[in-house]
Amino acid sequence: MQALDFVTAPNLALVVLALAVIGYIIGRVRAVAASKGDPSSLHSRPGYHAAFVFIWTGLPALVVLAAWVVLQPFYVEPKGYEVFPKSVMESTTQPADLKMDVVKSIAKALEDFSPEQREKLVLGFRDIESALDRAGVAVAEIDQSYMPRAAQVIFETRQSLKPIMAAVVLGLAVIGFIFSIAVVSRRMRARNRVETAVRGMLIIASSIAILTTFGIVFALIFDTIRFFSVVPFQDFLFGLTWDPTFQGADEEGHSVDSRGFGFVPLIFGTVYISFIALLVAVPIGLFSAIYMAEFATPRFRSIAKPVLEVLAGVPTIVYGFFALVTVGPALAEFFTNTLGLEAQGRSVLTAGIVMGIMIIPFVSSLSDDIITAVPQSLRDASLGLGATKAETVRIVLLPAALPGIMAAVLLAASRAIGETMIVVLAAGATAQITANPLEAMTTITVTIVNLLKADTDFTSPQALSAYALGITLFVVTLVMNVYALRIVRKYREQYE
Amino acid sequence: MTDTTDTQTAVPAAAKGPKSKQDIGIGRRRFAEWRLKMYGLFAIAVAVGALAVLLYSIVSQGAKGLSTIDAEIEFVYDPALVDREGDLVKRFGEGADLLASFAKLSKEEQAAVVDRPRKTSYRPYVQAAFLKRLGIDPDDESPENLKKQDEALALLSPRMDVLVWQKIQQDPTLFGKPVKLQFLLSGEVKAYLDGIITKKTPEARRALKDGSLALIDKLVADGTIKYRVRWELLTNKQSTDPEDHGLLTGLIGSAYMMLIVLVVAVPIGVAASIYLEEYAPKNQLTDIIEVNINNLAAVPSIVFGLLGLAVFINFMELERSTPIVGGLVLSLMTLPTVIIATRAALKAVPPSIREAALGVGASKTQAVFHHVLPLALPGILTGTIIGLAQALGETAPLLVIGMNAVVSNVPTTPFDESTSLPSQIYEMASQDKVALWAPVTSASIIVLLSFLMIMNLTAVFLRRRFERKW
Repeated sequence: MQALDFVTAPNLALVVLALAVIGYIIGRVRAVAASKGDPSSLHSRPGYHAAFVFIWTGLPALVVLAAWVVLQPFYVEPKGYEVFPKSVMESTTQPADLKMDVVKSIAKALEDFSPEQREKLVLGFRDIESALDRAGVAVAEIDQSYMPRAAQVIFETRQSLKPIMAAVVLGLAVIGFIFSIAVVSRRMRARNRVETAVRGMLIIASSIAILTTFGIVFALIFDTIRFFSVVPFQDFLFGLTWDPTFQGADEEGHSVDSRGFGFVPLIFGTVYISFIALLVAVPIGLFSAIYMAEFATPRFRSIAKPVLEVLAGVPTIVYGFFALVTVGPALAEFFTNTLGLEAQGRSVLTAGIVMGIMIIPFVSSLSDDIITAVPQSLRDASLGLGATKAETVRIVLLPAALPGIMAAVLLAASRAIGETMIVVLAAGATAQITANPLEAMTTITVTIVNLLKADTDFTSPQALSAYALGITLFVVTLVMNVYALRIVRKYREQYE
Repeated sequence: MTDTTDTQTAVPAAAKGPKSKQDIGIGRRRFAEWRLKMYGLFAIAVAVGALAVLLYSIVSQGAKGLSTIDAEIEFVYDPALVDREGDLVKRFGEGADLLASFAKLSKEEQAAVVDRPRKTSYRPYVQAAFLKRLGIDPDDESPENLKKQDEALALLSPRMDVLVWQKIQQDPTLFGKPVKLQFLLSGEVKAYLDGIITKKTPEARRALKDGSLALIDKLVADGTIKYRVRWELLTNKQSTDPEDHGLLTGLIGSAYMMLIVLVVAVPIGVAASIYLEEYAPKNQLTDIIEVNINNLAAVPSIVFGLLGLAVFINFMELERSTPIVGGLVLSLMTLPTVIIATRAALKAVPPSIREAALGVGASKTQAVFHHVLPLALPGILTGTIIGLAQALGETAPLLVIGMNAVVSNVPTTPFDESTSLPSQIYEMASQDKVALWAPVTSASIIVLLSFLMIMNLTAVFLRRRFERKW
């Protein structure tokens, strides 16, 4: 059992790496020996031979190890499902994979338990309840009748796979090690081979950016589908109240109340706050950009531009705090005392204004670039006809730069929609639809944070609804970004 | 033009000179230009003004949070208190010299003895010592003296009994000895001295009544209460009270996460840029990758948090609230920034460098790694630091993966539960007593902003110092 405990993916990776380092040293020594004191007789320098051994020892083994870790669940989980009763597998209200998450958390806890504790699990897990709880298992969720057995099966399958994994990975490393050391010779084209491997790794690195996008989409889609299997799609999309306080299904696991999952108030709050933010940022950003591009001296520009960009560098949590303790109370006092309106610190207006300040540089910097990029010939032509600078800006430059400016505004809007910390602290958490900007309102991002920040059970419909909200947010901002970036690209091509 | 009718009607009246000197509304047009300039200047002034107000509000409040007050008070670790359970009396018999016999015990036994009384048992002793220092009789139970006691005890931090307990845990030899301790005063006292609470605040709405406030004035005047720099902000763990709250767990957590970003995002980002810039053929696939990277840079940060929750916590089963998860999430977020900066730096290296290398017989890979990359390094470094600074201030994804938890142990590895600097600021900002917590929160923000400033200034310095114009 002790030996099996040592067999974990990180430990195996370390062993393989150690072997690869040894291989590097031996490869170098052998290459130097093969040159027989005449370095120029080698096709490749000794370092390339060493790297060749290193790559052959480490790379295949580590790739297989990574693949194993990723693929193992697809083999193990069906074994666990075999133990599940039919009623659970066929339940439509509570998908079986939600249950599987609990089972997997038990199976993970088992790894740290003593054999006696493992036995107790199947006999009646109450004895080790506190130990399970400490290991992070949602004890209240455990269904005595099948979950401990399923967990046992998964645990044992995992244990039985461990020796095979170790054998395969270490075997590959050793084969690679022996093979690559054996082929080290004077004429071996080590450099070409190493360079091919390096190029391969560069390709893999650049595909990680794509993988992240896929990862986001898949991670969100899986849990969103799980969410929509509990809450009907139309109730989410068209529901007018957001109040997911109920506890999932009732005792029998039927009749889930999905009325509390109405998405409309959240999107309304998000759009409203973003709109106010744009109302603040667009005029300020645009006028600053025009001034800096057309009127400012180079010296003024070289100071003002970085200062404006500091606004984008301040962390959003700082803006949130600023909104909460400075702007909010000031606005509330102004509206209550001066105008006699009912107002509170946390409001749509507070969040909107502060967010507007934050996105000023997003509008101004890009607009500035865009206006500067308008060809000088257009300016000269306009000025040559006798137009003033202001008229040139209004009649020639702005129309020419309009698509780019629209793109800048779109990017700023997408930033505002996805912004979290300012609204979490300053917009409140009340999900409501009202036109009054002095009231508290909530947004998509605030709701995601509030659903997930507590140490909740991640399989409840509430937690899953966060993914549905997340994917909505992702899709909306993605469409805006893609569209905006396309405009910018086209615009640049047009003038280049 | 829209204004032509205007100008034409105005001409006969104004025209005195020859006809060629037609009034084309030059004054009005110049005024329009002046107006546009003023709009621009005004807009910049508003933006800069907003930044100034933001910084002023943080710094002015943070200055209060960077200092703390305490009073030096002599506290005796009374044998009756420390040996509350009577372990020593039982062992050495009634009337034995407890101090002498305690000194004879082994280190472990001493630790066991001082561990016996619970933290709360220290409260009456701590309070008595405090009252004595203020010249109030702790035993007199007459109504007016009781009122005095209440007024005085309202000044004492509720955390003090724990701190006194911890002190003897660390050093059991203090048993029976008088020790000079720095007594922590409650957050309200500091708030009063900072002017957040004043005597004008209605008495019902503040925790400290008029009698307590008068006492504070007296204590400050006679020098019992002293100001000092609040180093505890950096060395203490989280607390339920603002007066001894510290950022230690957040600082460690953030440091680990930055390290992970450095190890994960930078090599991958640089490698990806090298491929895209130096090797990749211009085709549809690389086009998609390019668009994709630009879009990733604009994906809302909270979505990355959801990705981390789904992939690293639920699928890969890493622990929630650990720097490893946070670091990986921030790495994915920083990747586009690093790639964009690195590509710009590689683009700036002139093709002649590559051609010269290839001309003397270097392979493509050698040309890139031996010649182009070193020349692009300053630009890469600058981009990396800016990416790190962004990651350091990021909060939303960390909340989703639970980095806002209260951590009782100081994390020692990236796999331990931890918090982060920005998520701790979030937790402080969302406390109920906002006014009481505001100075500490602002002080923490100053700490965060200082780190960011150092990083950005380093980036600017690197760019100025090493950037080459070809």
